[in-house]
Amino acid sequence: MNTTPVSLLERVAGGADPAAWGRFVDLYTPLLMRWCGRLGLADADAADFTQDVFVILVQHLPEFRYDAAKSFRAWLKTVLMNVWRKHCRKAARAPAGGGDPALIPDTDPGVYVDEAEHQDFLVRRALALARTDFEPETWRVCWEFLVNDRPAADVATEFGVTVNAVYLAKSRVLRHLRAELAGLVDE
Amino acid sequence: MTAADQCPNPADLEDFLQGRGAPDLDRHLAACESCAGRAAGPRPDDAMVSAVRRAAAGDTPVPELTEELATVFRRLLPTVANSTADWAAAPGPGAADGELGRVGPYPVFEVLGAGGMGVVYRGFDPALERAVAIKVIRPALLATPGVVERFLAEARAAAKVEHDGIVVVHAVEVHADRPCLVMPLLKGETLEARLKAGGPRPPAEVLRVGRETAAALAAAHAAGLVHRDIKPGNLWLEAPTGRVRVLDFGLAVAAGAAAGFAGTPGYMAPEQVRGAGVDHRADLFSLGCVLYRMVAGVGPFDAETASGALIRTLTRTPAACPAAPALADLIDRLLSRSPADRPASAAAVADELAALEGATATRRRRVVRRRWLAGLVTAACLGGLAAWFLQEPPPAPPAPVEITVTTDPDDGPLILTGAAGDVRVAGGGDTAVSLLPGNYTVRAAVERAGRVPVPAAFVVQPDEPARVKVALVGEVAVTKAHGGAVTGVAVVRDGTGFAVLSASLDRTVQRWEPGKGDPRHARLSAPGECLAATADGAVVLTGGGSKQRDPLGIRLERWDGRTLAAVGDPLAGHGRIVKVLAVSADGRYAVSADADELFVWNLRGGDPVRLPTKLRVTSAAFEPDGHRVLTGDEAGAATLRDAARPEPSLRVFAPPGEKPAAVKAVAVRPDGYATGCEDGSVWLWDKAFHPKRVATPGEVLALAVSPDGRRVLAAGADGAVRLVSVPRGEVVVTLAGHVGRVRGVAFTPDGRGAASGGEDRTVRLWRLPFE
Repeated sequence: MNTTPVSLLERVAGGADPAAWGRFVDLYTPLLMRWCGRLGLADADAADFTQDVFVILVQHLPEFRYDAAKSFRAWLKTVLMNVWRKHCRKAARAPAGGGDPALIPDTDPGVYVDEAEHQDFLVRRALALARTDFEPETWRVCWEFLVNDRPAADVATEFGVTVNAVYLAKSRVLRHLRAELAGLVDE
Repeated sequence: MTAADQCPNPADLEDFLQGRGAPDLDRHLAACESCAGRAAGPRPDDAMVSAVRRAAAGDTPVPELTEELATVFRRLLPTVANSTADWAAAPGPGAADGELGRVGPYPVFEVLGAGGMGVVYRGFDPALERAVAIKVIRPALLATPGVVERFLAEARAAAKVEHDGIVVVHAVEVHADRPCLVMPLLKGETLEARLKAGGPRPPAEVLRVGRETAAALAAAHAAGLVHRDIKPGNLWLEAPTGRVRVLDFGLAVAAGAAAGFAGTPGYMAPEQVRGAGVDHRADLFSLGCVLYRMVAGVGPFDAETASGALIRTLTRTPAACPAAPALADLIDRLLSRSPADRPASAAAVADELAALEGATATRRRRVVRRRWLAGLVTAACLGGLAAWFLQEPPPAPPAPVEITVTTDPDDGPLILTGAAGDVRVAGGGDTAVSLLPGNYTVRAAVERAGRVPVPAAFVVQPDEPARVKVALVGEVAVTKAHGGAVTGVAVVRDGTGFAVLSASLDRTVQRWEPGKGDPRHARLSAPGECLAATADGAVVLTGGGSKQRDPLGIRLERWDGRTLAAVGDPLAGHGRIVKVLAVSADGRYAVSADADELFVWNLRGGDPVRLPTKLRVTSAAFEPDGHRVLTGDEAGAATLRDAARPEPSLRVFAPPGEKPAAVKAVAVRPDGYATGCEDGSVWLWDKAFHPKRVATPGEVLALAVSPDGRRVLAAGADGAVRLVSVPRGEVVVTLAGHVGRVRGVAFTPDGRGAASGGEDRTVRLWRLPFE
């Protein structure tokens, strides 16, 4: 049995895992669409923009070596900047600060990838997606214990399991979430 | 390991409880009461746990569109199921000469077509002694369990529906583990083939094909079947009448199981893209897409990629369809995003199209409205109304508008079709015609294969006289006189006309005056790899060489472009095959390059300047005044040099990005430059070196700039020649015809024509749209 599960990012970077890519898309699509809204893009343009980002990611993720020193978020931001510049050029639209779209600086206020927002959004999304990865009972046990903060003994009694099982449920859900988001969010 | 494994130390236990990377202690902690005791009590949250708590506290629901888009983005990863890689379903070994092989008991003789679903063979039924078509399903589709059974069930159900519009299936059998459909061998073509060859269809044909398809669908829907993959490729137009027969019922189900969705991007209904439940109304949506394409020449959701088309289907409303108003309204309803807003049944659609056909045929303004008729039947019961028609008082007719239609001198008459019917316009120049305001589609009175009117439709506004210039765009002439790939093309003036020069690997240089007889040739001393000419043809250079490293063969040869007589001595100096050649407009300077060196020649005399190149130079072009020359290299950069003093270079520029694609072609424009790249990009640069990118699907191998500088031709490795509008920054016309790489391209002196040559050994002349 594995000790540390392979992270989602590593599986996607491997390039041949459709399930991992699918999960990655499910995780990031809402966040990317949200950023598009902030950039002032309507739905149709936002969909095209997001697709452009994913097309680059699917091609270049294998080159992104998961490395504690290199932030995925920073790399993602570079991709976003390039796609945003391309879209501005195509729409002959000037960026927020005016000037040549080709020269949008990396510090352009329009495109910012704030870590706190990024992490919160991803965790929320991962949580919603992870629900279907667990037995309903394991999920509910973890929820009562971890989120609703009820004492382990109470939860154990309610669900007719040992206290150990309650700790295990929390451990497994958290382990799964960490594996999913390893490398994507700073820990 | 004994049941009482060592209890972990506190740090490890803590890590494990918080789900952090720690040795896996599941089994231990499941049983150990001592650890359970240690685990009791509150513990500090780390960042992840805090985040989980925050996340659980509030939840912004994700919009449905976002989830739908995610299903499209998941498919961006290339997989076996959604790859369209070719495969050959090799039939069993043939028993007799002329046979490709056998499928079960049926000998097969040739492949009629192949697609994502499978291969169709022309075969023979020995039992009944008749020719048949046999469709064998693609193996990759069969990997999912249960697909074969579902497919067979659908195919059998479809076979039970008897209707003229549905292809009869003689037999559904399984041979060598693959399901096969045995069908009558049909003569004719698919609607897709007809659209590709001829562009938009005339209104009468659109209505007829639509009605016949809707009628076939009505029969199938009544039997409880949904086709799920209605598209031009699945509509067979049977010779000689063009009567529609719908193909491939049931196959969509099989493909769907393998790829996770059924249907073709660009024709799929939104609910199909979402993967939601699909009913007969999805077929109506697809029919709407087909009708739209028949009228407009392009599909309503066409995009560069399949996923792009899916996204458009989900997020965009198509541009207004240039059809007559009643048809445009029906198409609009068929393309409703919500199934409830579409016409209720295929039968109703067939009726509506039949009514439109009747109205068009008699060229009568519609005064009877079907809805009113239904209301009248009930009103008649009240007594009083005896009439079956109700004449609407006709609205005051809008005044006709004076339109000048301009066509090329050698083009024949056009037919303009509007709400009131057809109007014939003489060709060959300017014709004045009075048209009522409204939408009009255009077609040639005598259809010529490969020529498409551009624009194919236009709008007449009330009280706005206008000029409409219609060109019949496409291939005008072709010559196949070369015996090897054509590698360079140039157009030179010839009196008021022009001639096309081409160099080829067949060791000849050719001069072709289209329409004036066979081309003339002169022999080259080696396979020709490049050609350059001044506009008047006074100075023509060819270069090339062969792998045999014959030094005599690597000399640049000079020609008189009018007579193809050799001029002066060849230019020697290169040590390797020359693939790049350019000459200045005044014929004074030339530039040539091989894999190692760049040569700048003064053609009046003297030794060339030789520059060793670290990066291979792939292309070159002079500025109009001949003072500076632009070269492109395989690292993706373009370099500007002074022709009289080539070292040091004046300027190097490259597109943004870490690794720009190799430059394969360069050209100089009046307002700047153009570079064409291996990744299909055409970069348009202004004088300040600011780039604008135009994406094309095919690697760009050659570029040409129109005399007015407003258009650029890009020769593609995919066989297409693309016309790019510089002000609009996009491809406006794609000229298809070449097979394989197009290596050279040039404009005619009036900018209205293009010449191209490629690896299919042909040189082709094309008509381009009016600006």
